[in-house]
Order: sequence, then structure tokens, then C-alpha cells
Amino acid sequence: MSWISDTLTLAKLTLLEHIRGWKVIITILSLFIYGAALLGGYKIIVLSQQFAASTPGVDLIAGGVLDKLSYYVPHVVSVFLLPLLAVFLGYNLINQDLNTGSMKFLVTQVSRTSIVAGRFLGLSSVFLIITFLPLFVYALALHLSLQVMLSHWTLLFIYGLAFFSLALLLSSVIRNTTFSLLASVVVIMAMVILLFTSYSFLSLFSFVSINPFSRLPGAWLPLLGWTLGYFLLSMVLFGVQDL
Amino acid sequence: MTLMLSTSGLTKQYGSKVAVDHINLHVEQGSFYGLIGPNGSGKTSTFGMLTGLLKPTSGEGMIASFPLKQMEKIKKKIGFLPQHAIPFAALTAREHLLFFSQLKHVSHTEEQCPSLIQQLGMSSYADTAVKKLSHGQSKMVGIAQAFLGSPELVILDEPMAGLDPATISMLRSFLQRQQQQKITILYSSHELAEVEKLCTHVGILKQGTLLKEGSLDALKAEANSLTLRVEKMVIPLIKSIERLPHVTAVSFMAPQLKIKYTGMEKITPHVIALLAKAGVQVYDIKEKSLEDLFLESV
Repeated sequence: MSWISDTLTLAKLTLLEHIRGWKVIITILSLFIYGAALLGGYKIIVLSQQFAASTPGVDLIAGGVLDKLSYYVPHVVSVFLLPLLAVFLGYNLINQDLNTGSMKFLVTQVSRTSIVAGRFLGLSSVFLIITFLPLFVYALALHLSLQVMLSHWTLLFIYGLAFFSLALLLSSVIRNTTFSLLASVVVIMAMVILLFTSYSFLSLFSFVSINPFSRLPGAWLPLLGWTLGYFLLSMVLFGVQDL
Repeated sequence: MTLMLSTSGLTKQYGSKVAVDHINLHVEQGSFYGLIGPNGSGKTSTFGMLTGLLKPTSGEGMIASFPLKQMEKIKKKIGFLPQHAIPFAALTAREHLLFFSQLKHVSHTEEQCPSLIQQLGMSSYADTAVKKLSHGQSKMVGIAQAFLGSPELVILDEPMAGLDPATISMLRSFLQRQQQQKITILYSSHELAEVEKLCTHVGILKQGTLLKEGSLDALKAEANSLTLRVEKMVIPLIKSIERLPHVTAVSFMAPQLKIKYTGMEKITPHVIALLAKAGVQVYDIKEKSLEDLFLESV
């Protein structure tokens, strides 16, 4: 019970720190830009379809190009933007406290596993909250039903969670926050490269298509598996370190 | 004598460098124990092992009847102020204390937090964000945090470093009040005068080795000596000084007369009286203190 209570207290602290911090503002802005890109893409699709219907023969090529661009560009952005935002939020989740020394206050009062769990839980709540607003605006604009919106929200969350746990792992083992940010970006790039090799199963991107919503329903289990793996590894590696 | 903390052969090695070398600490319940030593002597590494920040390379220890391996149980019994640590920057001083009250499951938070804020003179900045506080103010937040709940043992790593004289005086009174409430305090310091004012027990560390340990009175008694610069000296007078109570040795190497003695009673007035009676002019008197013992040791 004490472990759960400590974890929840730490999650609350993480939530509070991020609400008061500047990173959340940048993340929300980025998500709005992403939402605007999706909306823009949607509008272009509608317009190109209307154009194709009114002037047959002329619009087939132009409409087709527009159609593809409008469809792929926002979704390419979404596939890579979300992981980048996730690591941006989480790259210093553990090592920031090590650098300021505040981790020493925590480690001498609560277990290291509850620190990792509390920080992860807190940041996941932050992500859950900050993805809601842009998605809600997007859903309203596209007249999506509440059910569809909630489904998209869950899928985005699971996708982001896998990259959060990756950032958590890196911030648990790398002391320097700049290096952990760089390492996160390098790992993401490596995962993109892995997609084109026979080791693509090691890449978190292999579970999503260009449209993150199209293949995610079947990919939630492996994504959650990776999340759990990274999370447990963070706990173990943080637990054995001298601080 | 009940021990709150004891270690046996506690050692910490970083690669080939031995930071703490088989130390055997004995901290009595209710005592105020000062661990003194120069930079790099192993004080912080010792505290690190006692609080779960560092894993001992070898050796054992007990805190509040729990072996060091049961660190999660020990954590519930101790409070700790790390040497270089900034409280959570996004919180105010009061929020920081309330947060740790929750972690420590303090039942009387409503009374204890305001009381600590008031006792440590933090009222003027209690609602200021920690990131806006000075080094000294941040340190006071850390000290208040260490005493939250009902810790049986409080470990403070250099609590006085970087504080102004007025704050040091207030902190000294606060720590003395805490010790009177039977809280065992273990702290490290470079300020030897401070150790003499506060501590009941002292341990001297040098290069990871515990050179001396004991009650302050016993160590002072061991350190007792008196050195006088005198105009002249004659053998009968040396014999007279040797016959004084508690004097163990007298040596004279012109112009220095050195007298060693045991016990806590100062012999200076008796020696001065003897020299005056013999018409010997005294130019300088130096009584050896714990600081001299410390400097000799390190």
C-alpha cells in the first residue's frame, strides 16, 4: 500500500511540475499544428474531390496528386511528431533530478521502483491530458463521433507511451540531460533505418502505417509489450546505480 | 548504551580508489555525533551508504535495529539532508515540505509544517518558488524536510556550509532542541568550532579511515595540552609542575614549555600561579583544542 501511495504522490508531483513548466506549452502548440495539418489535409481532399466531380478529365492527375499529398503529409508528420514530442517530454524524467540533487531527497525516503513508476505515471497523465484538447478540436472540426475520438485518443496514447518508456529508460541510464535527449533522437532515427532492414521488428515504427490510426488497433499489444519492457528495464537499471 | 547506528568494516571502493576503508562507526541513541574530516576524506560516501544512495563494496551496518540491506525499512526511520541538493524547483518551500510529509506519511502535517517553517525562520519565503530562493534558504528547506515526521535518526551532510552567522546561530539552537527531544543526529562538518559547540560525540575521518571516535569529552581529554612561551625555566619548577594533579608530562625546549594533562579541568591557572610565584615571565599561552587534535590527525 505504501508503494502505491508513494507512486501516486510522485505522479502528482510530476503532473504539477509539468503543468507549471514550459515544455507542456510547446507540446500543446505542436499538437495544434499537427491537428491543423490534419485538418488542412482533410480540407484539400474534400476540395480536390469536389474539383474532380465538377471537371472530369482535367482533374484526375491534379486531384490524384493532391489527394496523395494531403493524405500522406499530415500522417507522416503524425507518425514522427508524436515520438519526438514523447521523448521531448520525457528525456530528462529521471536524470534531471539527479543533476539538481533533488533525487537524493527522494531516494532516501522512498523506493527507487516507486520513483520510476511515479515519474512515468505522472508524465503519462500529462500526455493523456495534453493530447485531448487538440484531438477534441480536430474531432469537432471533422464531425467525428465521441466514440471515434476516444478511440483515436487511446491509440495515440498507446503509441506515445511506447516512446515515453524509451525516453524513461534513456534518462535512467544517462546522467547528462543533453546526452539523453540526443540519444533519444538517435534511437528514433535508428528505428527508422531499422524499418528497411530484416530487424524491422525491433523498431516501434513497424507497428504503425503512415496513417497511425489504420494499423494501430492490431498493434496495441506489441506496443504495450515494448512499453512494459522498457519500463521494467528502467526500474532495474536505476535500482542498481550508485547515486 | 543503545546504539542507533553502527557499522562494521564498511567500505566503498570506486574502481581502484578506496573512498571509505573498513570504518566502524558507533552512534549512540540520542547523541549528537559529528563526523569531521577534510575534503575527500569519505564523509559523503559514508552518508551515501547509510542512506541507500550508494551500495557498500563490503561491510555491514545497522540503523535503528535494521541491517543496511533492509534499506526500505531504514528509510522510514531516518531524515537526510544531502550536501549538494536543490529541492524541487517548481514547488514553493511549503509545497516541498507538504510533498515530503505525504511521502513520509506524516499524520500531523497541519501542525508540523508550519512549526518547522517558524522554527527555522522560513516564514518570509515559505510561499516562494524554490528556484527563486538563495542557496542558504534552499538549504533550510532541506533541513526542515529532514526533520519531518518522527525520524529516529537525522543525517545532515554539511548543514552549516554556506549559511550566514545569524542563520547558523538559529540552526544551532534548533538542532540542540531536536536533540533534547531524543532525536539522534549525525552530521558532517568542516567547522570544528561548531562541532565542539554542538556534538556529544566525534569521529575523525582521514582518507576514508576513521582515525578516532569517542565522546567529545574523552577526545578533548586526550587532546589536552598546554604550551607556554616563557622567559626561562629551572628544573625544580618543572618538578613542581609535574606534581600538579592530572599532569602527565612536562617538557621544556627554550622558550617553549609543554604540559600534557588528563581530565576536563583546566590546569592553566595553577601553572600560571606557579610560574608567577617563581618570577618567570610568560609571553604566550596556547591551550590545545579538538581542532589541534583534528589538525594533527589529518
